[in-house]
Amino acid sequence: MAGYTIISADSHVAEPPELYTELVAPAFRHRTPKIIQENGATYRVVEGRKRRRLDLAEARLTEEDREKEFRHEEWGGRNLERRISEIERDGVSAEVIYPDYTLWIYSSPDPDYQMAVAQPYNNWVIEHFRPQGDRFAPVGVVPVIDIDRGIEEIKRLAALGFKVASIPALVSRLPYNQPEYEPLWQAIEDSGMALSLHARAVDYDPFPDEIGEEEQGGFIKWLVCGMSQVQEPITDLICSGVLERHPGIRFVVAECGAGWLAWLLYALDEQAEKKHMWIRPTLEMRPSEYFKRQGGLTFGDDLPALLNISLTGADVLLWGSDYPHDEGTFPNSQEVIERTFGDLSESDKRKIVGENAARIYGFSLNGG
Amino acid sequence: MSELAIISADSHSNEPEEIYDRLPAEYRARAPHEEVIDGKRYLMYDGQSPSAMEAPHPLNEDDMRRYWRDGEALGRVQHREGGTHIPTRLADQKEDGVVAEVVYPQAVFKIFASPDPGYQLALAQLYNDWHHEIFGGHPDKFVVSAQIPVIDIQDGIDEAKRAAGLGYRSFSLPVSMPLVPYNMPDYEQFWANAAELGVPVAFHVFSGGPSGKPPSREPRMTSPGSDQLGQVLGMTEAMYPMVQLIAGGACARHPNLKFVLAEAGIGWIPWLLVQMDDNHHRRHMWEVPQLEMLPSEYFKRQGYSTFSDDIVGIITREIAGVESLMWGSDYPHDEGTFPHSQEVIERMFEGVPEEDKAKIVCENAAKLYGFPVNGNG
Repeated sequence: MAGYTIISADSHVAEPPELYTELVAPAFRHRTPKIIQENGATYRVVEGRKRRRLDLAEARLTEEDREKEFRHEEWGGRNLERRISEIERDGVSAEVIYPDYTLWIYSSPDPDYQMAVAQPYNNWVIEHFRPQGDRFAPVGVVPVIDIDRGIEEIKRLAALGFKVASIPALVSRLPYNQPEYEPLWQAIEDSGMALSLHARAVDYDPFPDEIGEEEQGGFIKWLVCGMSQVQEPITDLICSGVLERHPGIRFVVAECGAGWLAWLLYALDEQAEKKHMWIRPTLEMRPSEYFKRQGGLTFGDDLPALLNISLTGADVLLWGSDYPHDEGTFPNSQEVIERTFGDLSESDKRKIVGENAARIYGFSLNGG
Repeated sequence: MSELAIISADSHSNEPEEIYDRLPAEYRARAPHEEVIDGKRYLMYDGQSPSAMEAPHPLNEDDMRRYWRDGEALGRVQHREGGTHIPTRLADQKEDGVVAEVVYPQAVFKIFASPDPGYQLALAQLYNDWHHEIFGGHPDKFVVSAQIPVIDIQDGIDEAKRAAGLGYRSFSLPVSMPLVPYNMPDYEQFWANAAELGVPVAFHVFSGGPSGKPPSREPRMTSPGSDQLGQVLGMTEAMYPMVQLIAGGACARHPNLKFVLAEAGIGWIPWLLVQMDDNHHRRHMWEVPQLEMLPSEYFKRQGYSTFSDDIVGIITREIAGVESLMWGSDYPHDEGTFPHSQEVIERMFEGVPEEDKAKIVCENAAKLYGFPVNGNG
C-alpha cells in the first residue's frame, strides 16, 4: 500500500532478562516468569497459572515460523535499530508496543506482586523506547486488583509520558460494570491517556486443569474464544453507563479481532429496544453510539470486519500486525492488507491502517 | 406478505408447574418453583441464582402479547395456553406467517445447571414425555427438542435413544459443560450415536451445565447493565460448543453429526470461522488434533445457527455458508420477532436473492428436520 503510513496498533516486545534479575525488587524476583527444563521438556512458569509446555510445537516449525516469536533471537525486539528494519521490511512505520509476559501478571492473586512487576516494566519500557518516541508508543501496564494503587499508577504513567495505559481485559472477581471502579474511570479520563485492554490478559488461569490446552483443540479454543471474551468488558463499559458518565474516555481493545463488532453493536441496540423493560441503567443514546464515540478494536487479518464497515464505520477499527507472534501477519502484512482491504474507500483504508492510531496515540503521520 | 413458506427454527413452549407433581418424590424439593424474596417474585431453578419475574420498567402493548402474559401477572415466563394449547399456538403462527416450528421447551433453561444427575434425568424424562403427549401428534408442524442431560453421559446416551424412539428429531444439550467441555473424548459415543440416529444436536443459549460452584443467592441481572450482558453475551456462549466440536475433531470423526446453535445469532459466525481458519494456518504447530479440512469447512458441512433479527449475518452470509443459517422467531419471547416476523424478514432480506432467502427462512430447516413444506405455503 504505497503512499500510506501504516501503524501497527498491536505489537509486542519481550521483557529484558534484567527486568527479573535486577529491576524487580529482590523479594519478588523468584516469583517472576521463567523457562525451565525438566525431564527433557521445556516449560514456562507464570505465577497464578499452571505451567505450560513449550517444546511440543518445535518439530512442526517452518522456516517462516522461525522468524517469529523472537525464536532463537536474544534481542526480543528490543534492539531499536534492528526492530525498525524488521517492521519496515513488513511495510510498517510505527507501532503501539505491548509487553509479552507482563500481560499475565493479572493471573497472580497478589496485588503486591502485580505492582512489583508492573512498575519496573513501565519504567523500563518508556525509557527504552523514548529515543524513538515518534515511532513507538509503549503501553503502560496497570494492576487494578487494588483500585487505589491502580489510580496512583495511572497518574505516574501520565507523568512519565505514556500515551496509553492498559488494564486487564477481564476481571472475573469484580467486573467493570461495578461501581468500585468509578474513581479509576475518572482518573483515566483526567489523565488524557487512552485506555487499553489486551485480549487474554485475564485475572485467572485459562488452563487450570490442563483440560485440552495442547490437546483436543484446546489451544485454538483459547486463542479464538479468548478474543471474543472482550465483548464482556466492552458491554460492561457501555451498558453500565461508564462511557456515558465519562465521555472523555477513549479505549481500544487489542488483538481481539473485529469481525464480531457489527454483530455485537447490532445485538446490543436490538436488545436495548426489545428488552427495554429490563434495562438498567437507562442510557440516553443507543449502545452502539457510545462505542462509536469512544471505542476501538485492533485486528490483523479479518475480512468480516471490513465487509461490515457500513455498520461500524471506519473510525473504530485499527489494524495491527501483532508482531512478532505466530498468529499475527508479520512478515506478510502488506499481502494481508491487500487481500482483505480490497473494496474499501481510500479514506477508510487510511483511517484503519494509520490515521485512527495516529489520532488516539499521538503519532505524527508526516513522512511515514 | 412473502409468498415463501416460513419455518421458525427457534420457538419456545412453556410447561405448566403442575407437571412437577409427576416427579419422583425424592426430587420434588429441587423442582422449578416461584419464591418471594424481599417482596419480589423470583423463579428458582436448581443450580441457578434467583431469576426476577417482575421487570423494573413498564410493559407496552406488544410486550403483553408475548410470554403469554396476562393483565395481573406480568411475570416474564408465565404459562398460558398459547405455549402448549395447539389451536392457540397455530393461530398465533398463522398471524405471524409461520408454517412450522422447531420448539425448544422452556425446560431447556431450567434443567442443566443442576448438580444432581439423577434429578436431571428424571426431569428430562418428565419434559420429554409431557411434550410428546402435547406436540407428538403434529409432526408436520412441530419438531420439539428433547432435553438430553450429559452430566452422566451414559444417561444422556440412553435418553437420546429413548427420545428418538418417541419420534424426537432434535436433542438439546447444555450449551456449555464447564467441568467436562465438549472437546473432551468423554462424549465420543454420544456423537457417534447422534450421527447414526440422524438427529441434530442443539445447543440453545442460556442453558449452561453445572459450574462446580454453588449458585449465588443474589438474584441474577441486578448489577448495572446486566440485562444486556446476559442477553447479548449469552449468545456468544455458543462459540464454545462450536469451536470445541470442530477443533476437538468430533466433526471430522463424525461427518454425519449435525449441530445447531439455537438463538445464538449469526453475525459473529463469519468472524469466528475466519479466525479459526487463520489459526489453523498460522498456529499449525500447536494444532492437536490436526484437521484435514479448514475449520470453516466443517461448519459449512455440519453446523447451523439460528437468529431472529441480525442484518450483520445476512451481509456476510457467504462466509458462514448460506446453508448453515436458519431464521427463527423466538416466539413468544420479548427479544424475538413475534408478531412482526414478516416485517423483520422483509427488512433484513432486502436485496438478497430469493434463492438465499428461501434457504435461510425455510429450506435449511425443512431439510435438516424433515418438514414437508412444498405446497404448504
